[in-house]
Amino acid sequence: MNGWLAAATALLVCGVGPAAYGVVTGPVHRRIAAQNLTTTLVSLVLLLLAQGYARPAYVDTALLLAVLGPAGTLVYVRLLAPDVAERPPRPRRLRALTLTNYVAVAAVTLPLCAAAGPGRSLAKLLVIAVLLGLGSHVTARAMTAGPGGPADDETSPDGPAPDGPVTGGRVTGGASTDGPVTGAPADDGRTPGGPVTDGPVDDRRAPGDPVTDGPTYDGQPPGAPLTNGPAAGGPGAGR
Amino acid sequence: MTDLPLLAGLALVVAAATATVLVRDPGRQAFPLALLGLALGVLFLLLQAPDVALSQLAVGCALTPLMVLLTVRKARRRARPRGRADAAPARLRHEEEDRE
Repeated sequence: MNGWLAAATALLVCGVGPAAYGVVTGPVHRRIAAQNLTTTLVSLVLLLLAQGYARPAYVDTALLLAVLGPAGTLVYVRLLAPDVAERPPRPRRLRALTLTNYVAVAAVTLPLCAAAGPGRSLAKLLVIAVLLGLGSHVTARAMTAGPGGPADDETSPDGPAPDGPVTGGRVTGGASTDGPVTGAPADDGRTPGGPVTDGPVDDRRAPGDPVTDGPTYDGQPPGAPLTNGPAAGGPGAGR
Repeated sequence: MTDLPLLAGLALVVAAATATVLVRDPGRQAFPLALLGLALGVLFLLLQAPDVALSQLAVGCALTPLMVLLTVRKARRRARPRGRADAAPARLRHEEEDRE
């Protein structure tokens, strides 16, 4: 029983114990933050045990946990986003908890680095410390992202809406309208069913008079015989 | 005295397992399940079995909560249309028939 094992036991009892209590009780945001803290502390316990038992191979378990712990916590954040949005965490408390993470990582890793000495094991320890710190930071950011973040697609039953053809009442493409292809319902002042007055209206003509100058529909009431173009006045008349 | 870390690990496993059994809601049960996975990983390492601890941490920390939460989410989505069954029962029957 050396100092490292005693430190590991103390961290397990005094650190992981209360964090575990926070994981199993309370609102969802507290559970996720406590879950993050628990994985960090357990990773540090594993590092201390590796040093205490003088088995460098045990450091690999801490490395694995440093990678998978934040991933697991992000799984919670992603899949329980609606519950977190219902009762979001208080920023100050979350910041304090994240700070606890950083302090714990530094307090355990620095003596271990001093004991390890320069070499591959030191590099491994530093990588683990960076991963743990980064994991805490990313998790805290993900929890405060709120409903405006990637959790938006929780509300739709089929995941994120596809970027393909839009559905749900909007005009698809422009081929079905007579107006400009804008993807929105054509709204340029035309009443449906009324006379189409796209060009200049020739006021000299009274409705019903045969049209003799070009194929226009100006002024023709709906239902009037279309007398325009070459058909007006016999075949080939002036055209 | 030398067994103190082992006792602490065992106590943590017992506490996590009890908490898992006492939590009834499946969505909330994923949390103590992950905690149990962590505690078992620590226990395996305390018993000088690092490879087993590696596998346990990989499965219990990330995979088990993921599977549990995905199942809960899927079950919730399936249950949601049933809540609207009072409004349009005929359409839902067709939907379920199409699904099958």
